[in-house]
Formats: sequence, C-alpha cells, structure tokens
Amino acid sequence: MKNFKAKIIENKQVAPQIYNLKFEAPKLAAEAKPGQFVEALCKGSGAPFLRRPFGVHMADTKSGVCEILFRIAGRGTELLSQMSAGDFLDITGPLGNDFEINKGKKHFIAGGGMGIAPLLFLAKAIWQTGEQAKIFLAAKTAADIARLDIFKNFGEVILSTEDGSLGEKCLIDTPLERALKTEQNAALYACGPRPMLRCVAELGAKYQTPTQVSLEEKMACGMGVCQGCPVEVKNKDTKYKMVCKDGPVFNAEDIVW
Amino acid sequence: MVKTKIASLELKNPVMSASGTFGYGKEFAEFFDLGQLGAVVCKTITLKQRFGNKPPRITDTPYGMVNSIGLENNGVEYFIKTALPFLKNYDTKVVVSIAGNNAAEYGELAKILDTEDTVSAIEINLSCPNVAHGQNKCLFSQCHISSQDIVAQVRKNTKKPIFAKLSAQVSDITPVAKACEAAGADALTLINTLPALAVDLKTRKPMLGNVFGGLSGGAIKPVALKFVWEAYNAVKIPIIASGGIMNATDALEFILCGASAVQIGSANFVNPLACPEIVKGIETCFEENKIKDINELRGKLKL
Repeated sequence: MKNFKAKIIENKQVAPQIYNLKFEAPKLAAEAKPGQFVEALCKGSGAPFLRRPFGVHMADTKSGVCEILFRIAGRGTELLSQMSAGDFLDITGPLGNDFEINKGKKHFIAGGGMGIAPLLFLAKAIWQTGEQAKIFLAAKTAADIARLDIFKNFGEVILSTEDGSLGEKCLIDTPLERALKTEQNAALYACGPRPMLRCVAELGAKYQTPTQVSLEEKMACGMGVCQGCPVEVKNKDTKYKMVCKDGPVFNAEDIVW
Repeated sequence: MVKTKIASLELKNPVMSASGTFGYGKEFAEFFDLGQLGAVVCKTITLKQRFGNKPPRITDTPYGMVNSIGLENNGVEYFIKTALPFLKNYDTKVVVSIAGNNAAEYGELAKILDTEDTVSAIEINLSCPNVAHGQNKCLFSQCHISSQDIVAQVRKNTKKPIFAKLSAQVSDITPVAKACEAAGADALTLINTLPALAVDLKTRKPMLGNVFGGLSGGAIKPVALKFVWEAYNAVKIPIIASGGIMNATDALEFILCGASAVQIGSANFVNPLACPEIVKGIETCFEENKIKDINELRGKLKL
C-alpha cells in the first residue's frame, strides 16, 4: 500500500461520459491483483474533499502502466475527466482484497454498467491461466457498453441491454441463467449495481455455483481505518464488514442482501 | 525545539492523530513511522463491542465530510489484546479515547486502562454526535454537570493525564471548560465534529443511514479556532486543538490561538502522509522564524 503521484499517459473518452485513464505506476502494476482498487485525489478547490475509489481496470507489469475506467457521476469524476497526459494524479493503492480465481472451473464473469471496470483485469488474469471465461456484459443501452473490443481478447462476450440496442433485450440474469443451466462446473465473478448483484447472488445459490461479488460503497480512508463503508454480513461475531478492507470482493453467500 | 507539554506528558512535537481517523495506527504505519508523531490518539473504545450505525456512513461535502460511524469498535478487551502490543513498538505516546453510556462506564474504562503501561493518557470523548446519551439525548459536553461528573469519575480511577474532548455545539464554552478543569482534567481537546445533515435532492433522502452525522474537515476550521481561543482564555490547563487542520499553516494558526498541541483528523483520509508533513512544516516554520519554544507562539494572537 503506497501513496504516490502517477504521471498520466492518456485520458480518453471511450463512451459517452465514460473515460479510460492510463497512468505510469510500475509498483502498482507489479503489486495490484484483479479486484483491488485505488483511491485517487480528484483535485478541486476543496470540493470534492475526499479521495474517490476506482477498481484497477488493467495493470501491465511489463510496461508499468495501470488503468482506471470511470463514468462522470459527480464533481470528482468530472475533474478527473479534465486531467490530461502529462498531469500527475495522486493515488493510494493497491487497496482491498482480490478475486480468487477458482482453478479448473468454467469462469463466468458478469459486469453491469460501470461494474465492468475491475472485471477486465480479472478477465485478463483468467485468460493468462489458460482457462476459459465467458464474459457477460450488460447495460441500459448500447452507448453504455465500453471496452467491448478489449474484453473480446479474453473470452467469449455475451451482451445484453435493457433497450435491446445491443445484444439481447433483457437484464443480465437471462443469459447468465441460461449458461448456468448447461454448465455444472461454473464459478461466478460479478460487479455492478446492487440489485444486479443480489440477482447474481440468487442465481449462484440456485445453481450451487461459487459466487464472488465486488461491492461499491462510499469511502473515506479506503484502508479500514474509519469504519465508514460497512456492508451487513451473515456473521456471528460482527454485524458489518468494511468494503474497503474486508472487500471489495465478498462471497455472495456471506452478504445480507 | 518543537516539543510540547500536556500536564506531565512530554511530546516530541505537538502533532497527534485525531480519534476515529487513525484506527489504532496499524494502517498508517505502512505509510510512515508512527514515531514521527507526538502522540497517536486511538479510535474511541467502549467497554463492550459496538456495531456502529447503519450505512451509508460517509458523505463528501464542500471542504469537508459528514460521518456517522457510531463508535464502531470491538471493546476494551480486544483493544488491549491487539492494539496496545502493536503501538508499544513505536517511539510515540499513546492516547486512548474512551466513551461510555454513563459516568460509571467511563470510570470503569479508566480503571482498566490505568494498569496498561503503554497508555500514556486518556481522552474522554464527551462529544460524539453519533451516539445518543442521557435523558435528553444530548451530548455529555453540552451539559457542564454531566461533563464534571464523568471527568471526576475518570480522575478517581486513573493517575494518567486525562483530556476532555468537547463539542462546539454550545452557546458558551466557558462553563463546561471550567467544569472539566475543576473536575481534574489535565487538558481540553476541542472541537469534535459538528452535528450536520446532508441530503440528496434527487432521492429526497438523507445522505447518511443515521440521518444526522458529524461535519469535519477544512469547513469547520474557523469554528474550531474560535472555540480554542475562547477555551484558552477560560482555563489554565492546556488546550489540544482539533477541527479542519489540513496542513502546517492550519496547525500553527491553532497554536497562535492558544493550542499546546494539535490533532489531525479528516486530513488523514485525503493525504495519508498529512501527519508527518505537518510535523515537518511546523519544524520548518520554527526554524525560519527562530522560534525556540512553542510558548513563544502559543496564544500570542494580537487583538
């Protein structure tokens, strides 16, 4: 866990309101594991005040380049979208835990909306083990699906949109359940809005498939100090776990949905 | 040169972490040597485990943040077993923040901690805005009689230096400051976060699960400065300042207004190296201005 200033190499709009930001961070690239996140300081004049958490979208050990993918959702991400190559971004990371790749399983990756952000790095890591992954990407509309070509490098991509503008017109659970019905030996990895994750967790339980979900919560410290990002868990010892330190990746069955 | 003294407690510099923003030091020890700090003030502990408030617990506001953690902690026993052995390894003072539901609980906590050699001092949290106290659901430190009772109970149970942490949510700080001093407090820490509300216009809901929270960060600095200055003029015991200290200049302003030490809170979330950078900044200022003793600056506000 380190705090450093990273030189931005590229900050490119990849879809309406969605940006992919590449920066030089050799240590982060070497240390980060799929599912982990960083906290970036989106500098304004006092607002926003806190850092913003972003899943590591991609990390390349060889070039020392890392990437985050974000959508403009407020003042912080708006300021971040205005940064350009040559600027320095204050980053703390890597933070949190990571996805455990269930070796020998058929890997089903499910990303909804901006939940795709940490899943590209995971897809690459699975691809590097030589095992197969099916990647389910879903969004409201075609324009919201970013990074499709890159995802295609690491597995078969199954698309769905709510308005049917790209792929099947449905929510992510439809193609996911179809695949789970025919595949007995699957492992699920998901990130996306809370209702989608709850749905994926239910599918995982129904088909007795090990399911890991990456959760999102507003954070301050990002490292387990402030106890500001709790998620309620089924646990006798404690009511809450912290998304930043105990997560962001949790076993779906441990969460109180 | 930048050393300071709070009652019998000698600090190598006036910089402490603020309770609740630094855990028990372990996470920040990955960023810098905790031995650089005058003291580490631990997150408030209670007798028994507390689960804290329902989420969301954090929201960002202009120049600050509102939190409603609700004193989540694993209780004093867990703290003694896990946090103290870790902190013992660092060349810094350890201040333990405590909270209870009544004076007896505060007294019991003080008694338990009194036998722990690693504990250098106890900070009595009389002002957490995220827990309901007493009959009127007000903060202990909003009532000088409650405050006096609690401080006296803690005083009875420990010989270690005790600090009373107060709220700015009062019309006049003087009665409670004097009451704490009379009851045996060795110093006053002020201010705690300010009770606050943040809302989401789109959803028409409060931003926090607990509805209200405590405002901290740069936004509250001018409020804190006023209360530190007033308390400094009201009592003889040292004042420890907290409230929106983001950098060395902020810290020095508080010393100018009477603080013998400063606590760094929300700044730790923005910059994990805020504490050591503020120590360095104070040292540089003292050198450049040939200040040989903190008392040459402390309380020297020209009116």
